[in-house]
Amino acid sequence: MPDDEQKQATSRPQRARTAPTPAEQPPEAAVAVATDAAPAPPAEETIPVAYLIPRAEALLGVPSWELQGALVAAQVTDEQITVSAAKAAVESFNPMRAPSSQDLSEEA
Amino acid sequence: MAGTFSPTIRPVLPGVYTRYEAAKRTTLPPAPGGIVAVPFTNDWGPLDSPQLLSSFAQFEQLYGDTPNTPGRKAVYGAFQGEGLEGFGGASGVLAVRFAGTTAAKATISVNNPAAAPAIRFDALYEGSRANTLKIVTGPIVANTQEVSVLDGTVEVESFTFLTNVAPALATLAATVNASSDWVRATVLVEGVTGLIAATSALAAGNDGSALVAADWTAVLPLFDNDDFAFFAPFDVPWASGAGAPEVATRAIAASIVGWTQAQNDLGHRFTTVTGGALGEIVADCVARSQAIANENVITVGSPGVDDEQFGSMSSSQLVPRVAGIFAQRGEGRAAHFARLAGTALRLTTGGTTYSTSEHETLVAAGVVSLQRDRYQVAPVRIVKSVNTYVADAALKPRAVYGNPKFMLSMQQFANDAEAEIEREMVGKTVVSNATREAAAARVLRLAQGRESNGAFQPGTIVTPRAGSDDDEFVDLDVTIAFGRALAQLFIHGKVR
Repeated sequence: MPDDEQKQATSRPQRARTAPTPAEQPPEAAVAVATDAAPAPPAEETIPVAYLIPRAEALLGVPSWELQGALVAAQVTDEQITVSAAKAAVESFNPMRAPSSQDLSEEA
Repeated sequence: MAGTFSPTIRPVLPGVYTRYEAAKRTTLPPAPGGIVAVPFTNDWGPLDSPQLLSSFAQFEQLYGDTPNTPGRKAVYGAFQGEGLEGFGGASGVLAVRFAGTTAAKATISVNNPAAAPAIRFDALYEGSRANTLKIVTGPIVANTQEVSVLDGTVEVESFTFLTNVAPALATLAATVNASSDWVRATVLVEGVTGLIAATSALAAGNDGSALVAADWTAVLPLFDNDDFAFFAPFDVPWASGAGAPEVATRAIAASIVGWTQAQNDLGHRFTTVTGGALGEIVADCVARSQAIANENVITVGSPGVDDEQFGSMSSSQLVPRVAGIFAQRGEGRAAHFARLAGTALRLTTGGTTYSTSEHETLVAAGVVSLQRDRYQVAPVRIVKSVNTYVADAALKPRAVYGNPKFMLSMQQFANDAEAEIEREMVGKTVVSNATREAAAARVLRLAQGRESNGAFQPGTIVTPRAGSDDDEFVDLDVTIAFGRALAQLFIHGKVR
């Protein structure tokens, strides 16, 4: 048995007793954690609010004036916003825009 | 002297016979330039259905006569305008009653002699107005029963049906539903024994007057396809506070302003009038105007008034009345010194009035402020006719775009030109020099009409540009000078 394997075998009981901190984890354990978790989504791109408003119909499916109200309601003061944040603001401003409401109205 | 005649029994003798008949009265709809569009809540009347009213009496017929409802205040104000002889308000109101999700029709079920609910009466419209209605079922006499609708103690409708002829209740319901102005009937259990003799009061009617943003976003598109000159959302009090109600109201106001601009961009041209909360201070008025900053939006800034009919009213509740004033003054006149008869100015929340320098601040900031003076008949007046556009870009000077009179002229002139050319020429004439000249002549005639009423100065120039007959369009250059309404008079006195 190679020296390395002997060392791992003898050290296993100790690891089982106390959970290792991330710093203590051997490289192979860290790899295992990373493979089990879902890959992190890429950060959503922010776009200028001034660009988004006139394109609200195309990008969000709502009139621009409804988005303008939603941004005031959500107290958005940044000049940049993500599409998903804008969508969330619209759905909060007008709950009929939320997907669940639309499904219900379609069913009705 | 042959006299009159009958076409069926013709006269025997030769001669000229004449007879007259009364023709149906022609009612012309109000011109779009004088129409104020008003969304409102109310306790009666059709929901979500635009109705063009040419008088306040029409409002009462459709929406009831309950005093002090928001709808009554709004529509009355739009028609009232200044409220002085010769200086009224809108020539027409495009009314849309809308409601929140709590709106409900008053309802009651009436039992049959077996004590089972047999027929249900629902109010024709949602709202609390119908909570005064009662259904009175009389005794069955000779297999006939009378069902009356009472408004309080006054019988407003009566129906009879035969209790021994099936389907008795369905027949009653059909009669009611075909002619009642108050209720609709639904049969729950059919029978041939009629209904118990009783008085049953309708209940649970709700106005749905608690509005949220979604209610406003739903009502605005109802105005997309009708012509009007001013849009007056009643009681959306824009205030600068950080509380949730203020933020929510500002958001609704922002969507109204955004919708106004979007509609104007699409060629549906009009001006929206906005206002603030009761007792508002100058800083709030200025902040509102700065937040709006739009040539198609006017904002009224004032602590509000005490109205002899409706009590305290904020500037956002005066919006239809101010819009009515602007509509009545029209393209030829400005709203400087327009009066609000029957009102007294209120104080700010701090217990003060606006000073002269604050009125100057408000005018500079694009706010239509209200001031009191010594004119006893109607001491509250508009200081100056301005809109919220205060930028002064080279291609968009404030002197033109910040003037509501000029904006109204631009909007209505474009509307009229579009309507006429689309109706008479688009698709009907080929591109040629004759068409260019004809289009120019039509546009010039529209301009000359405005020259005669003071909207434009004389001398409007309309020139067709040279173009190719291979294109599908023609170009016109139009040079307009707006008529200026008198705002100041300087008297140079020499005294000894």
